[in-house]
Amino acid sequence: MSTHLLVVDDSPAMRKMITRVIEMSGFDIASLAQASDGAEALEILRAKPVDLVLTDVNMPIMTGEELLREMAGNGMLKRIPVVVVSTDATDARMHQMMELGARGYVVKPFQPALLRNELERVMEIGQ
Amino acid sequence: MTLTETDYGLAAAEIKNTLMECSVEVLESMFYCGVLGPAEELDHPYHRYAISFSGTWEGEFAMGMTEDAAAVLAANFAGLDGDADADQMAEVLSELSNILCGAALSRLNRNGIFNLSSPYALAMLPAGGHRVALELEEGTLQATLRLGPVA
Repeated sequence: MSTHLLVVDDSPAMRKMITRVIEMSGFDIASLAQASDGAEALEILRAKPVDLVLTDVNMPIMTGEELLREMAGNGMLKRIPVVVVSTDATDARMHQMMELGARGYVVKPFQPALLRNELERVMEIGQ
Repeated sequence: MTLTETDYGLAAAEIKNTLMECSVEVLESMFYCGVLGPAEELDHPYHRYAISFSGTWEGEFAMGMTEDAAAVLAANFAGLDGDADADQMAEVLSELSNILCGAALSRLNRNGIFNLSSPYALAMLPAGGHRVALELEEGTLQATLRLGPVA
């Protein structure tokens, strides 16, 4: 089944890098949308079909933590799996994001294969 | 470098080693650039970016590098065959400062919660702080971590 992905990061360079890794990984991607913060991501989530969200944590306007809280409070959006992609590797932050409903956590720096494997794992669980 | 009351009880050597280890891992894994070893500190690094942070600790991370290092790191991260333009270079170097800062803080305090600002360009690197300079396959990169309130 083709997947609709949403990549949320305030860094254009990181959004492009993640997009490149996904495109080169051979996933069956129906669409790949991008947002630069949580608020923009919510607009996309309410307007388009999204099967999987990859999000940064530290972003202006609305952080990844706030995005997860918003999604958790919405009956439709809370079903969409979220993978956090962040430089923040503290136990406290990882625990907090997983408690809020994140299904996966990839710490930057990462090798492209690690991101690919985590996406595969989360997508398989969702099917 | 002497420790001050704003260094949150960390040893200067621990901070410096962490900065060094993080830089090597980040540069080699995501920027495909080998690190040859320690280098002399740069008097006037060409590209300078910083990130301030708050939360469990507050402070600022700053980074500067030579022109040739910036060109290679930007092209490698962006997957370009040729040179990165000015916008691409700014985007990539901003993200590099973000990754280095986050990685260093996470290793120095695994139980902390940190809120990082967006990266910003600096007119010059700040004085003081804990510094490391690395000789890369192309050029030199310098990273500085200041722990404690930033004026």
